[in-house]
Amino acid sequence: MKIMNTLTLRYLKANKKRSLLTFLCIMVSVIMMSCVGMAFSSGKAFYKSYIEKTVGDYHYYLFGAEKEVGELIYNDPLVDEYYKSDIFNLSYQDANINVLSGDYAYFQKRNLQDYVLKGRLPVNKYEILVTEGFLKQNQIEKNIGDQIEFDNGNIYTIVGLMSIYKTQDYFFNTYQALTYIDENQPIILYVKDKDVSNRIFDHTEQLENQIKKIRNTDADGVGLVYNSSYLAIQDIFEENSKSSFLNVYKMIYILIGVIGIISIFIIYQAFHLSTSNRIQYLGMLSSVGATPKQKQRSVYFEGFILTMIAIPLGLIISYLGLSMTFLIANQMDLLKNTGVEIHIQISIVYMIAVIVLSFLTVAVALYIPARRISRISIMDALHKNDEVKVKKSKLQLNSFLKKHLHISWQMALKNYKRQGRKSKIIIFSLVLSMCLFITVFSFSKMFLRTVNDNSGISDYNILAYVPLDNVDQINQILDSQDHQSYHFISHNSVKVHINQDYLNYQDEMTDMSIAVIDQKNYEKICQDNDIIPTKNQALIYDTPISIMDDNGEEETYSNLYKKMDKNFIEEIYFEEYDGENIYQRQLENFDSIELLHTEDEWGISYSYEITLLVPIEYYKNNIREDAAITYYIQSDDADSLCDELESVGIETVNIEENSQYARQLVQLVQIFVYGFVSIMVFFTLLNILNMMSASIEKRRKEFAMILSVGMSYKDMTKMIFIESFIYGIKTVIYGFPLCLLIEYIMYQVSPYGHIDFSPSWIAYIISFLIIFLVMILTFKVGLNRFKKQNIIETLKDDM
Amino acid sequence: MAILEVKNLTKIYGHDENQVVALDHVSFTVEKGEFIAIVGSSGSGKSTLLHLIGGVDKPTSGEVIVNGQNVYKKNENELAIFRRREVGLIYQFYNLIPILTVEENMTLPVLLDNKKVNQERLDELLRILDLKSREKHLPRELSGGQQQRVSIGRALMNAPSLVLADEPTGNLDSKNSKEIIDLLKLTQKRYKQTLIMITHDESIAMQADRIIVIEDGKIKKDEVIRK
Repeated sequence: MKIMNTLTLRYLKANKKRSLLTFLCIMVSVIMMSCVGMAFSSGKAFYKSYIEKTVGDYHYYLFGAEKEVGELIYNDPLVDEYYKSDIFNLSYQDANINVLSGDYAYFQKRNLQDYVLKGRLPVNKYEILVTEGFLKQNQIEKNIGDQIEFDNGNIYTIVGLMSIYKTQDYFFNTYQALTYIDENQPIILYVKDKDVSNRIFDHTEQLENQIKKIRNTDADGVGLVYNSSYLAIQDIFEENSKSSFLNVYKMIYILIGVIGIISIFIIYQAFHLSTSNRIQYLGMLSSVGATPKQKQRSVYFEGFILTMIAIPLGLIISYLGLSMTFLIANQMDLLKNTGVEIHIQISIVYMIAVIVLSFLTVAVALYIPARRISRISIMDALHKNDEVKVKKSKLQLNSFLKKHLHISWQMALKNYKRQGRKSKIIIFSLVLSMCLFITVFSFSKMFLRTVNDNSGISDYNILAYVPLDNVDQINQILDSQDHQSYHFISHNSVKVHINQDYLNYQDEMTDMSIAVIDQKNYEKICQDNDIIPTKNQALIYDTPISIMDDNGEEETYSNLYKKMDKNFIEEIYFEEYDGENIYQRQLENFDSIELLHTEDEWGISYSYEITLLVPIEYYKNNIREDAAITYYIQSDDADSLCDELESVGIETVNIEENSQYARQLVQLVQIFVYGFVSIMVFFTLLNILNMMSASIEKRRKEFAMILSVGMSYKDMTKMIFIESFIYGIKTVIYGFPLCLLIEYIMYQVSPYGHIDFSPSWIAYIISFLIIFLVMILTFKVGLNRFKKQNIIETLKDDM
Repeated sequence: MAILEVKNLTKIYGHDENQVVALDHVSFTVEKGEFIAIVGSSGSGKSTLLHLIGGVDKPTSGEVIVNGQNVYKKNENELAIFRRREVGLIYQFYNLIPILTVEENMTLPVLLDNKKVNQERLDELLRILDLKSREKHLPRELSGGQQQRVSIGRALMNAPSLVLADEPTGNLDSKNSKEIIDLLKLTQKRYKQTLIMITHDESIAMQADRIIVIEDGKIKKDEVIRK
């Protein structure tokens, strides 16, 4: 056995290029598998720290928690820690101020000490910190130590001055005052359980029952809200959760599966070429007495040696590559400003899994070449006759082609045909390369979209809350300035009586939403649907609705409507609360109701009930006077615009800073994703290069013979080009539907399965171009090298 | 005592109308220590016969019995061991492993057996084959004649009872050819081996003890030249 291993090692050294290509195939496979895991776990760890810093490390919170509910939590042995806060408004001579209160633990969690400019944090509910801005703007001449009485009669001692505190959670609220929690009032209680697992949900179910008993009610909803992202990042999901994290996991499993399968094939190809190259040696060894098992083992030994070097090197390169990427990322403003750094996380279990998987991949890839080597006859091996034989009839060209095609075309076609099964394997390999590229491209597109959606990036950087009466005034201000865009969407609930004859299924359907959008976009929607906008009309998107039945099962209804006109809604009411009772106020009936067939790009329709889109005039005239509309404004100068709007009494939230964070976060993810796509492209190119260069090497003698009988280099180049073209076209024909299918499957498991599927056309074009280019280049380079060789030496050369 | 018995050996290549009968029910025996020359025109089936005797190809039908053992009743492993220990094959185109040295190429059958090389025997062979100064060289650093000697050395290393040479001088000039034949005859006598050689060269064939003429896959003539 020693001689076989010695021979294998010497062969690897003597054929450095081929060995290197094979080695690279294995190493890139290891890099891809380890990168996916390391990047994902590092990203998770980073995101966990980010959530802890911005949102908090609680598992759930209870809002409106009374003292008794608090006692329940304080004495619960399953609770690890808790902290309290509350938010309310105070006004001082009609000047409103948002107040945040909390206990000491809350102050620590939120690092509120950093916001104290002078003085100290409050230690009891009678002490307060305020911003200097609040004092100045309202000309309140008070200092630290003075008492301040607010309009509701509450008196506080000013114990410090603070800077404005802006939360980094999902609401971006700002506070200009800070006080200590009043435990006699209902509070927000943040809770962290000891058992960080799915048993949190069992615990909260118990808590909910206990709270219902305390409140003496059976009504659903006790004000318990989960910190879903934080739980999800720790792989804690509710039953039947639709969390986008789960979709990301699914996509990653598919990605790893695809990488694994394609790695097996590409590594198989590499070893197939390597063993084909040394088939004559192995035949010789067989003739002097090497057993089939000895030959097989030499193939496995080759794989083992290359894998033993490729695995640690691949892991080291992954580690270094990711570490460097993280190092650069940590220098970016995004991460510096959040105070959270991303560091590489290595799970030993995952690394062991990668090592085992890599060995398995190579072992599976080697199985067929090893078996083939052990079974090939000695004479065939000695004569290097491992070619697949095809029937003579398959090589025939019809007389029309023979008459009209140049000899180089005829030879190209015959060369392609004579490969038989081999050509199918080459095309299969090229198709797989294409699929790998498309899969990763598609995955990265959806992953980025998921990150985008969850990152808080939006097409606006200012939120403005505009009373209905001020809509025209604000529109004038915004329209007069070129450097911004805006839209608003607002919803309210209405009760309706409908005509059942208009629906394809039976439901009383008393609840609907009523929505309004800014005039510009409303008119565009009408135009896109060939509808003339009027003042008393309603528009309904013809989209599916999901309704929960009595058993709690959700059912989706599409093709809801048999027909549509103004008689669909017989009566429409708006519910109002006058402080004591709820009463229904009837609204104007519509002059027309139309169905919309274009895509609901603004997300106006809710998925669980019909939404009536009405013009702003109808909304103003019928919905309550004090209703406010939320404007979403994108401005080049967010700070100035906020000041201008606030000067006319409009409440605004400037989320520019947070948008910037989110955009940088997406940029960061893009770096990783595109880096990964680059590795994919490299892997696929390696495979094509490997195959094509081997093909040329094997046919050197044949080319020499053709040249020796008088074919010109030009004609030979043409012949090769035509062969490449045939392979390329076949790859496209088979690859295109397969890639579409893979992309569609990935799309279905993504969170965007409900939106119309749109293939990544650019990826298809890129992959076609790459395949053609690489094939032609490889042939050309190989031919150029061959040109330099002596024809007769090549003909004589045996090994 | 017959060291080799060939009984109704047949080899057919291809199928149906593309069938080629390379060997057609060939039968003969060979005594221990005989030097047999097999002659015939190109495509007559000489090499096919030699390969079938050496266990490097599979017959369509018939038997090959070497030292009382039916070669083609062995499984793949046993056949490999047979080739390693019982037979020494010498090819026209040497078929040396280019990345092994002269010494390694020669001792290959022993190394495949995981046995220790008999240094005395190796030295003797190197001396007889005039390769002593070349033992660490690679095949590409040797002339054609030297390479063929290495090939002979490999065939003889395990002292097989049967040496099969397929036109061993076909690729050599006359001087080298004579030397190779003399070496083969020498080693045959020295190690009391049975030598079966394919040759086109009449003068070489006349040096054998027996000449078998093959034509169209059949034995046309089987003549004893010297006893």
